[in-house]
Amino acid sequence: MTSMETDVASSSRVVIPGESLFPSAEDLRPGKGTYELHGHIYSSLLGYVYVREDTTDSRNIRVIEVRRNEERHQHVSPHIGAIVTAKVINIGPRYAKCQLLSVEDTILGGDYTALLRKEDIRSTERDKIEISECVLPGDILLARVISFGDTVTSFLISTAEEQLGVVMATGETGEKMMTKDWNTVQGVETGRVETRKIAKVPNLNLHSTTKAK
Amino acid sequence: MTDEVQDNGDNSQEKEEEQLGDRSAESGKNAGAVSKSVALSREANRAARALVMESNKLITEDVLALTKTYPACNALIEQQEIRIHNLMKKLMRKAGTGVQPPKLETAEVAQLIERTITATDNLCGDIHMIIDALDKAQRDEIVKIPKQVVGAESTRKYLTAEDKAAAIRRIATNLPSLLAQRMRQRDADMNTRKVAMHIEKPQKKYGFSFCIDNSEEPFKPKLVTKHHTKAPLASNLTVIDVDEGKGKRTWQSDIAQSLHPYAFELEHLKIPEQQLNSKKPIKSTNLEAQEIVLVDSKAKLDELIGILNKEREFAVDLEHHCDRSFLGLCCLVQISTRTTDFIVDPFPIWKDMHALNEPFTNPNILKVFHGSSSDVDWLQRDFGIYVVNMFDTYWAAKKLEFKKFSLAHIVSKIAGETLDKQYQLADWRVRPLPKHLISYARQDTHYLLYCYDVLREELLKKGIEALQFVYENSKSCCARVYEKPKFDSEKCLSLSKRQLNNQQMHALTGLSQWRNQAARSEDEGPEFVMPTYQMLHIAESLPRAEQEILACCYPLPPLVKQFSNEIYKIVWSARVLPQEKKSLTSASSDENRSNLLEKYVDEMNRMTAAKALLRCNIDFSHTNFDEEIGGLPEELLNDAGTKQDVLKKLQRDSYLPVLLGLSGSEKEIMVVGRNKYKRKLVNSIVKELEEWVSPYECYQILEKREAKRRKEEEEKNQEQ
Repeated sequence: MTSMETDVASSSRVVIPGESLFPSAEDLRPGKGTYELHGHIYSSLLGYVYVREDTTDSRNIRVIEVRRNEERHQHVSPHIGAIVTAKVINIGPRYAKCQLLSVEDTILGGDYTALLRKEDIRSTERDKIEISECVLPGDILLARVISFGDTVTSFLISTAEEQLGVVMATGETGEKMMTKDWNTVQGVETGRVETRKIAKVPNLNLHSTTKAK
Repeated sequence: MTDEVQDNGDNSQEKEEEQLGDRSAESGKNAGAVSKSVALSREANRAARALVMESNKLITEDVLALTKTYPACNALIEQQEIRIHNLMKKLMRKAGTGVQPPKLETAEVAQLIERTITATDNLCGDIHMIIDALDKAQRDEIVKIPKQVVGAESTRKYLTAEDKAAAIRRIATNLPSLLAQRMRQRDADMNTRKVAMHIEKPQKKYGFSFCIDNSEEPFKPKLVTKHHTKAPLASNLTVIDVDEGKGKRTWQSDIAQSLHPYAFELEHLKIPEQQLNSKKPIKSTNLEAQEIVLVDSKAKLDELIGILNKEREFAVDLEHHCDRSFLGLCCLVQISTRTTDFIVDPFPIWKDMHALNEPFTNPNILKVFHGSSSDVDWLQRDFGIYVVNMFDTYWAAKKLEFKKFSLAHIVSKIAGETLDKQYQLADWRVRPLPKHLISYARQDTHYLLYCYDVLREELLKKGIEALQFVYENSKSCCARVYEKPKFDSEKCLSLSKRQLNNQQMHALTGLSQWRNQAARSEDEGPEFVMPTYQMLHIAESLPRAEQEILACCYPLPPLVKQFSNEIYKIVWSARVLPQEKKSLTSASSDENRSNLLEKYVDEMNRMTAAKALLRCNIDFSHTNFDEEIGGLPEELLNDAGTKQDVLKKLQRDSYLPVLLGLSGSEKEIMVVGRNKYKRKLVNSIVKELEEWVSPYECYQILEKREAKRRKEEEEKNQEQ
């Protein structure tokens, strides 16, 4: 992510949405959690004010941000191009309906749904695809938001990249499955094998034996 | 309440209303009469007030009862009743109100009042209708106000409501007859337009196409002889550049092309005395009385020049055509002196027109124009005619703060004549010139000299500086140097309202360039070669076959048909280009994606005037968005403008101390209870949760590994 190391934090001030932060200036830019209106920069979130230096474009620009968490920026809602973690709720002939659990590393608070279209699952052979061979209800996916959907809280996601796809699967019988190889998952208890569109992401939880989930 | 009215009041009222009835016929004339009726209504008001005052002085109820006991008084009262009743009957009839007072025997006061009210209402309605009809006619400025009287006829003829209805119908039918007149004229115009397509191009017919240079070369001035010269013409200088060791280099300086040939004369122009002195305005002669002289041969042109050289001032206007010519063509030059209107047809005498420079550049003769900037350009471009000493009525109107600055408004305000403006967009190349076009053309300059006189007087009343202002601005119009329009191939991309992909953009630029070149070589207007909407249609749909291209262009321009092969080649070259897709899902590097997010966030956060309107429910329509909206707390207003160090602000106290309790990012898990086992279990669960890597974290780790690997590879490649 963008360099957060040069943030100025210490004893920052707490602001509420709509509170005026600074008058607009040439070297001030409204960042995440703020907006500019009528010559002033206002906060749009409840949180702390941060000032960040940005030296791109060979100009010293200070970016004003408001963050809920002192350490890192938290997303409020998914934006286009973000990597999201989604859980498949149900599937249809042409798409799978998912619920967005988190945007990058921010766990979402609201009820965000997304649609994963058939042609957006894979990057090759996009038409000849069977949804049930790629995702099933209950699977956890890594996907990217590509556009907004019908309503404010609905989006279109895509897994048409190598590193995107299913990370944890739920089998047809409802059991938990782990990835076996590039295309298949295997049930933890029964050993039953099924096909999925799997994300080529290192699985670092192999040692985990937790039953809760 | 009595129905006795005193003599005076009644008489004056009757006289008033009769006058009103007759005068309403007159108000059918010009706007000048409207002021008469305003004065009239003021008189009526005064009379009505007097009436009320008098009637208030009459005897009251209780005194009346006593009065009626005297038989003499009773007789007087009855006599007056009859007289008044007759007066009202006559009055209502004459004014054409369509109602009658109730019969004396059965009359009741309430009825009488009602009838009177209806009568005045009907009168007002009639007047309103007439005024509306004339207002509309004046506003349109297309419909000529007919000389006949449109309005109420003589009111003496009115006997019944039927007659009144007939009069209303007559008013209504007069308006359609004006429409019928317009229709007839429009038919004539349609024929002129049909002729336009079949008009032989005057460039070819009269053979002056060699005078027209459509190339991309800068415009070469066409001045032949410099009359009334004060400084020699800056001829093409030969510059000799002596370079040590490399020998002499000579080249022609083309400074003459960018200078105005009369720049020196214009700068040192002294306005003749007689133009600065006040003089009584000379009215224009009647249109029918003044003769029109058509100038279309060299002999007649020389005659005209001879006449103009002796004049003190004359008015000029041009008619221009730009459809069937790349740069445009002057089709007509209208010149008016105090006594004659001249219509100069430049086509037969194209190469000889420059002789008009003699009167035009004479600093002692005044030329009156209206809206001269384009006229000056056209004169230079086509004939090489320059203007020295000019008065532009547009600048005069601006200085005098007229409501509108059009020629029609000036002429109607000053000369009181309505100009018929329907032929402004006609095709003026048609020969022989039909009568209605000639009479339309001469109108433009016929009244101009009188308008100049009146405007001069008005300006002098304001002060000599006002007049100087107009001359200064007119002078800068004269000093204009004509430049050919430059073709910019990128401009066509802004024509399309939709987002175009690279194939469509290539096609559009190619078509636009072809259109420009074809227009130049065939000497046609670009819109005639291929209208913009057809060009956009082809670029957006990228047809596959020649037939499809021709189908895109309906109605089919002749040059598209002729060069359909060229167009096909352009479209085909666009189609073979590989389609570039802008995809968000392409695996781009870290920086690109984060930049995208930054840009997106920036875009969302930046408030623009348009966005503010959309999002805010406060009415900002009367405010300027660049100004600060009031109502900010004092402390912030004090900070505004002072470039305080941003960091210092962070230390400020927030006025919501409650929220200070928000601090603390980590959720502290409190272990309730003393149960050791439970605590251990909770701790182990917490430990496992911390160790568990979320899918996104796995993804991030992968990205980091990839970046590292790529960097190592690059370093390896660099070493090699």
